[in-house]
Amino acid sequence: MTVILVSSDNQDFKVDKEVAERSILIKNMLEDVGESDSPIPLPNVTSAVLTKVIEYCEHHRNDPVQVPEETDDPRKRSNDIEEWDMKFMQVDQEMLFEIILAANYLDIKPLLDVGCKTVANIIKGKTPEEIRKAFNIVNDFTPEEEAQIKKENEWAEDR
Amino acid sequence: MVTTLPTEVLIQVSSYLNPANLASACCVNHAWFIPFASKLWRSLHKDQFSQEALLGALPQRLGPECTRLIIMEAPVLGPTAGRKYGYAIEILERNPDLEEVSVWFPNPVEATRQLMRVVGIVVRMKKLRKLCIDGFMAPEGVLEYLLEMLPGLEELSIEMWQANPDAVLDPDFVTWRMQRMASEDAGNRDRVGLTPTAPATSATTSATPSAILLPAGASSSAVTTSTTEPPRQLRRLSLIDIEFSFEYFLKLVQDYPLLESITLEVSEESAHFRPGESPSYIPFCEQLGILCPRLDQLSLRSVEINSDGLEYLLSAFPRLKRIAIANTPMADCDILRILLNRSGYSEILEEIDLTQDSSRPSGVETLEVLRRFHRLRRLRVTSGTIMVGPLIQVFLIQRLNGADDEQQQEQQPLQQQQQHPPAASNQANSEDLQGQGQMHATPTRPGEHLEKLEVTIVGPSRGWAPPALFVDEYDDRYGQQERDADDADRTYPLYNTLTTLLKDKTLLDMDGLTLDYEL
Repeated sequence: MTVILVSSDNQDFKVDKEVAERSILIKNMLEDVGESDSPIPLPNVTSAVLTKVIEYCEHHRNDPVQVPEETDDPRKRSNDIEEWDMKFMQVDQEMLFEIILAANYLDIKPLLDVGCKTVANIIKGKTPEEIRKAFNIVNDFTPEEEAQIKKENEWAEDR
Repeated sequence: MVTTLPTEVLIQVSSYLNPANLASACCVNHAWFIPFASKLWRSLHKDQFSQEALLGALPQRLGPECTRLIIMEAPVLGPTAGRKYGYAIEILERNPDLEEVSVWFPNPVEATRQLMRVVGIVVRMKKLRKLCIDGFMAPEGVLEYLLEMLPGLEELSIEMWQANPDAVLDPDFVTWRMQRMASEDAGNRDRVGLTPTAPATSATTSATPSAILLPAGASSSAVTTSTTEPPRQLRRLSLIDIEFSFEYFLKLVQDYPLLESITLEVSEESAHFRPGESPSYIPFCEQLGILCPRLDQLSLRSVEINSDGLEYLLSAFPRLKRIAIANTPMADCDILRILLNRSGYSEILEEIDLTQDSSRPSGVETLEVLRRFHRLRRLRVTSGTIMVGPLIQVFLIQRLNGADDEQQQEQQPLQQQQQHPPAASNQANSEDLQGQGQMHATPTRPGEHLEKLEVTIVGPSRGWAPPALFVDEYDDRYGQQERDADDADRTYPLYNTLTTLLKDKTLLDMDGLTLDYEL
């Protein structure tokens, strides 16, 4: 059985129901609507991003339901990303953010996790300026503010 | 073009980073600051940071929304390199608008050096409502100074109180003390006194609201300048681990007519709360009730007190709402009997907390308290072992509207208590100890307001309740095999009746109950 997803730029994507239901949002929608052939509009996702997301869901269509890791200790949390996912996430910064936003919106927890881990891995070991560069972020702190935050966080520097 | 991520996503990202990376990430921009900084500050474990660096960062973090500061332990009170005073003192100094401050001095040396400094800062915190100082080593008069300088203070808790003549004095305090001494010399000394002729006795009607509003009239302070100022706000006073004298305490509380709660834990050398041994004790109790007509909460720990002593003390608490007694020579059953015999208490007492090391059982009294004190919200009696039958009866009685013969029999153990008549019985109420006459007169039901009941409930045999619920599930009274055979397919009518009745008490948290059985 297939469903039709419609991206924000009005492209139709025909995917297996099983694949589409990796998205909890879509799964719930289908459950609410019942048996229906009507296409599902996804006004927050462009076709470029939706292509990527469907690619991810196709690859992970048979994954068991993930048990979320519940630990607050960063040292115990695994940042490991599977090889396929790692390659999949090798996109430019904009696409990375778009995929994360789509995963967040579509409620695809494993994809959101991979996206967040990827962002975390990029942040690691970088100075604030390097982080800004990596993500095209404009610094809106005044120099005084930034100096103050740095000073406050000195204690954490070699932790 | 997407240039940022929603905060909830950033929070998830933050969970994959260590403190160093979080520190960088929160510098990126405003949108990133909150998620990463909050994770950073929440990630603090003792092994992850140097206290000094952490405290160096602290003072700027307290915004106007921060009204409460608790400084535990801490070498931070002492001076460190490049700083005249410790970090904690700097934090106090920079945040004069704090409303609650708790400072715990780690060691006596530190306390000696720093306490007066802290006091000097704290007395300028005019919004302060609650102050706790642990490790109080100060020259005489500092406690009074604190109280007087902070008329808005509602709660004061002082622990480990010792006089310290060597403290480095705060100049303001020196000035205050000299003025005080001068005014005392001028004839206002010993305003309260412990003799029946003391001036404050003129305020015998002070239980009325008008007297509460104008408290300073009769015993106007020698040190404060005006008698028309509003009453000082102190409601709760807690003196822990102190050397206690009745005279001193009366002097301390005489200007605090709104005082509601007293917590005392005294040191060994302190005065005994026994009329026979301390001649000033009875006048103390009388004066206390007059000076502080609103007293309704009493907590005593490690106090040398006996039944007579408690009777007298309670006379200062005619509207007692909460009582907690721990580690005194008195037995729980005697305390409960005193409470049962005081007229009016059954209508007002909300909390009884007895955690003493009593050897004498107090189940009968505990049960009677449950039967009669319908306002009780919390009841904890460590030695209170109640038989399940009578307990069920107490809770059932209203439903059945009159007990049948079977229950009458179960009630018999109660009557044994008449062998020990209460020491100072308060007229009519003593009869109620036995019967349930009062039950029908009151509109409320036993246990209706109960939120916490911490007693041991004992059944007639091991089979009265599921064994897993007993205090000591694996005791030696039964062998394992026998237990397994016993436990299969059992039903527990007594237990079920009890829980059904207790579930009726919708406010009750059942976790405090301890179950056991008789051998």
